[in-house]
Amino acid sequence: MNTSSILEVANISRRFGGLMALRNVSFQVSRGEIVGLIGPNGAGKTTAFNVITGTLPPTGGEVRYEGRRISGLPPSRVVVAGLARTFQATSTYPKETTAENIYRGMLPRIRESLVGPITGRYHRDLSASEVDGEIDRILQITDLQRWANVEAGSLPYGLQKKLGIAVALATKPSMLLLDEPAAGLNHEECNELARLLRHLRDEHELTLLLVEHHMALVMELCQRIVVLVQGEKIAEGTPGEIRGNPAVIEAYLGAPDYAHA
Amino acid sequence: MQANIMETQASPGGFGKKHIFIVLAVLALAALPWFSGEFVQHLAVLTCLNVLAINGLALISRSGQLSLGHAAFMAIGAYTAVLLGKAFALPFIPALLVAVLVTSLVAFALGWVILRLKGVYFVLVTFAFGELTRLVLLDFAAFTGGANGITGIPAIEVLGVSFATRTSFYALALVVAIASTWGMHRLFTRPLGHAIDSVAVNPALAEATGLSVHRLQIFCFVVGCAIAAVAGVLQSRYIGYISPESFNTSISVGLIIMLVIGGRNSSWGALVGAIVLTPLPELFRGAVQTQHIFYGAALILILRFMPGGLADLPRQLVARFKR
Repeated sequence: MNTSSILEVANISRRFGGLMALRNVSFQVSRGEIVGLIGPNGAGKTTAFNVITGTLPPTGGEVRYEGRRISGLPPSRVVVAGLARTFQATSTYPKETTAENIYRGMLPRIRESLVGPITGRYHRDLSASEVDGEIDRILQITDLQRWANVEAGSLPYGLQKKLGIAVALATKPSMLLLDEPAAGLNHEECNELARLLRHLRDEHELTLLLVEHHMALVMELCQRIVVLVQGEKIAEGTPGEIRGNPAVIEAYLGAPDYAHA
Repeated sequence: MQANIMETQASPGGFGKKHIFIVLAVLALAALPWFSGEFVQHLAVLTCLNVLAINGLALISRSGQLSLGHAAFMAIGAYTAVLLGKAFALPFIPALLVAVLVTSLVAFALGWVILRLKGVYFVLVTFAFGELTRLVLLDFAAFTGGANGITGIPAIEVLGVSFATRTSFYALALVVAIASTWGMHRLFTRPLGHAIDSVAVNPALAEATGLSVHRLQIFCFVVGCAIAAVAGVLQSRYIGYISPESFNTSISVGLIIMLVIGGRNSSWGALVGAIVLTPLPELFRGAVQTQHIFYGAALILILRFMPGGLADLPRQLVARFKR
């Protein structure tokens, strides 16, 4: 076992009836790394994402986080272990303000409340008097201060996606899983997202795993890339290695002509 | 930024200085029965007991689940307290505590299994559980008295203080109604209440941020059913008689209608719904059939034009006025 690895995906499989959506997929993510999980449509990226976050149990293999097995746990327990996620589409409490959305992300952490014991988070690190400061800190990290008192449902799409990251940060994760964070963002928002993610890793020591379609972003941001095709891992390496990998090129662009000869 | 977000996150219709007039009006209304006849006192007692039961239902509802078997938990509480009270000559308080404990355990066991169901499936199973409870009470006539029910249930007596008269019982019922409403208001202006709201509004996001949807819904279901048990026990001691029909499905439906018309997502919904709707059937005694028509029509009108219920009316009016 690699001691610096924070997330280990070991031989996970997931079957839906007769369909193998994932077949013996293994990879590791090291502490402080940004890793991309890519693949054409239907490659099993979202299934892998759901298995890692506990939304789906794997039918084979296991997921370990900081050496502890987390596969089979419900998502709310996976978060307690320190692994938070964002959603592909926007996901907020639309009638609450930006600040209140972030506050709701940190509810189980509040010491003077029954939320932690009821939901199974026994290690609570935030006292009620520190809540406002913590909200401000996250607003600042995500640069959402200006929108603090605006209802989440009336924010533009790009900001709602950013709020999704802010709410995930409110759980005080050590690793963040992002489900297509760039989907639906314009060029400028995309650059800002890349800046934010890099900042999260460099300044807040977060480890990041992103499932993403936006190739330019993945190539620019990730230190390592894992490529899934039809439920199997076909390649893993640095952006340079992935770019030149014939199997990856074939999966994305189709086989070169001579293959049919 | 506001000074303290946990306090400012008040539910719609939250408590403020501007509500002082409403509080005074409610207090005046609450005092009225003492200066009225027996009939008004009787209605006031029933209203207070309904407020309590509906607050339990509201707690379950605000976690995102609708129970169509709420009266069954009133029945379990009432029958447990009455039967144990008779068998072991238990005083009121121990009998009440045992009844609440038994009801909570039943709710926990049932909730653990069925709270994984969503929406209409959960409603259906709670409906079936309500019918099951009623049939069990009917069929085990040796213990429960069957369709004849149990008569001669003694009035409440705590530490030598008797609540046998209507006026004294009203005082008790009023305290219970106000306490439960205040408790709901407190809960939903605090982190735990915000967590429960989160689970109802966006369960996927709540779960992803560590708010276990299942555990929070079980918590609400168990506490809500325990509150129903208290209401059932008090009602049995007030009326002096219980039968399976005292807690049948139409009672559960009535509680839901009062909750929806009062306001599902407001801390004051149970209070408003019970005050408006409890007296109606009694006033329409001469025409029992039209009462159901009225309930149904009122429910449809509220759902169509005021989904937030009557308790949401002031906020809606203010919003319209500002526009």
